[in-house]
Parts: sequence; C-alpha cells; structure tokens
Amino acid sequence: MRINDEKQFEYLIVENHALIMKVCLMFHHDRNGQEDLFQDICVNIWKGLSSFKGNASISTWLYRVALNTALAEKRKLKNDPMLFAAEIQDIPEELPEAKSDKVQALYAGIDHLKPTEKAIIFLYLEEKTYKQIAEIIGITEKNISVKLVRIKRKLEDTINSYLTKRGTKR
Amino acid sequence: MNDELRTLWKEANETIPDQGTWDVNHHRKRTSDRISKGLRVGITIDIIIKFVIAIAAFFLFITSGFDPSYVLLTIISLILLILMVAIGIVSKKKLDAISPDLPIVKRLERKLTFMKSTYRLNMISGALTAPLFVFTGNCYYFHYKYGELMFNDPVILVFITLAFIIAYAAQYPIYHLQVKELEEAVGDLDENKAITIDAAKSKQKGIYSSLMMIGIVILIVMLILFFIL
Repeated sequence: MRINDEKQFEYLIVENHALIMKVCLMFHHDRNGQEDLFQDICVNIWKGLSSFKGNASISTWLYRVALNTALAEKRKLKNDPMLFAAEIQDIPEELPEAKSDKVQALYAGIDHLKPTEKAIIFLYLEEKTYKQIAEIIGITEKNISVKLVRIKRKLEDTINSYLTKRGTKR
Repeated sequence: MNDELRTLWKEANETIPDQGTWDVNHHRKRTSDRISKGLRVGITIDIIIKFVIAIAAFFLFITSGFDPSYVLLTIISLILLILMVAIGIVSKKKLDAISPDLPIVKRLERKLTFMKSTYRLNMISGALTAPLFVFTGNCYYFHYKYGELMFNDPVILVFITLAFIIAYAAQYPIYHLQVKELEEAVGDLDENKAITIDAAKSKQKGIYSSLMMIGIVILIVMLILFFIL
C-alpha cells in the first residue's frame, strides 16, 4: 500500500461518506448490514483505485463501485439460506431513520423494488441525468427512461397503498 | 410526483448516520469469515480431496512394490489432480478479474458468462472427485483382498460413471438457480440487448465446456477399459 494511494483512498472515503452511506441505507435496514456493506464498498474502492484511469468522472466511478457491490451482496445473500433468513429477521416493522409517514412510505416503496430497480431509482433520486444513469448502469438512455417510468409507477403505487393503510392523505 | 420523490429522498437523507467508518480490522474479520464460504472454499476443498486421493494412489503404487500395473492408476490420479488444480486456479482468477468498477450491466453479463463457461467446467472438475474416489477405493479393495487390480467387472465401471453423474447432478440445481437469477437481473436492466449478446458468447463457451466434459469422461472410460481388456 503506497502512502499517496492510502491518503487518496482515505480522502475519497471521507469525501464520499454520504454517498456510500445512502447506498447502504437503501439496501439494508439493519445497522450490521449497513456496516458490512460499507466495508465491502470501501474494499472495492481500494481495489479499484489503482485501475481507475479517469475515463469516467470519479463520482460516476464511485456510484458504479458502490452499486455493483450492493447488488453483488444481495445476490450472495439470496444464495445463502442462513444469511437470507438472518436478513429477513433483521427487517424491523417500523423503518428506522424515517422522519415522516411519507418518508417511511418511500422506504417501503423502495423495499418492494428489485435490487437492480433500486440501483436505477437511487441514481434518479440522487438527481443524476439520464445520461449519467445510463453510463453507470451500462444501458442506453432510452432504456433508462422506459425503466424509470415503470419503476416510478411501481413506487408510486406502493407509496399510495402504504399511506392509505396508514390513513395519511397525500 | 417526480419532484415529490426527490424531495422525500432529500428529507430522508437530511442527516446521514455517521456509523460508516472504514475499519480495516472489521474488514479483515469479515473477509476471514467469508473465506469459509462460497466458490473459493469449494475449489480449495476439492483440490485437497483430489490431492489426498492422489497421495493414496501413489501410496498404493509404492506398497504394490512398484508393480507396473499400478502405474496407470497413479498416472490417472496425478493427471486429474494437475488438471483440476489448474481449472481451480483459473476459475478463481477469472472470478477475481470481474472488476466492481464496470458498468452494472457489464458486470452482471461477465458474471453470467463466468457461470456459464468457467464455472461449469469447475462443476465437472468437482464432480470428477467422486468417481476418482470410487476408483481409488476399489483399487485398495482389490489390492488388499486379491493382491491385484481386477477391473474386469463392468459393474465397477457403472458405479464409477454413476458417481460422476450423481455428483454432477447434485450441483446442478444450485447452479441453475444462480444462473437464472443472474439472467433475471441482466434482463431487468436490459431486456433488449444483454441476454442475446451474452447468450451467443455463453453458448459458444458452453459448447466448449461440454466438449471438455465429454472428453474427460471418455478419457476416464478409455483408461478403465484399458484396465479391463
């Protein structure tokens, strides 16, 4: 580990702490899960740092690494019955960190999405352009716009049904 | 609604918990926990078992007083061992080479290609452990019971073949589930392009793997038939 690389890595982690944490919160409700995913993302950032050639912006590259790590982790979890059962037990009835019913509804809606859909909506919510989302995910802008329409509709349905159950008017 | 979603997202992330801090010890602990799981462990255990079998075969060769009829047994075991170790190392390297900084759909495609080509070959390698074990076990039995190798009974050949088929079939449902899941993920992202592009690649590699598998099985059968005749 070279000193310069190490400093650059630490700087990257500190500077992008919020981004990484948001990915962790999106994919995990429990603190342990978030912590583990955070470490995995850091490891992959470290591993990839030497091969990062600057073809994409550092932000695009970080989003890719973070989301790829989260998706890979979800697949591993699904393939391991023991871990999958533990993950199910970890989901609390009331979603933590949520400040209002609407925010809870948003998290509930996100929970109903497939991991890959979560990745796309996450980038949309982070106010990335279609071009940037397409670059990170690796599909065309047109495809992204079609997918986003479907995902937003799905999300809206879940949010509405959640709020109706709670008796909260939108 | 669009703006509202983004507003809600901002509200949800007004205060990001500061729990996430890079901790190399935490990572080391988790890595060491994970080493006991998954493909890497499977490959390592398989190599160890094959190594033990190879040693057993070599031991038999020595205890037989360097009987030339036992040479073939040792050669088969050693060739398979070297071949399987090579396959295991290549599989692990290929898996590690799938970089996490690739665009998401590309990474999924590469994993899918890996599963449909290299990993399939690895499954064959893993399944060959069982017949190798049966074969060596029989050699020991014949050596200590009759003082010579007696592979002139086709039932033994049947058991060796069955051992391979059962071991391969046992791995297949898990493999199939993993591939299906990856295909679904690629399809979710790019239903128009991803599957078709990768299908061509993986089909080609799949044919290559199947040919390898048939080749290995034929080689084993021929060697065993050589014993019988």
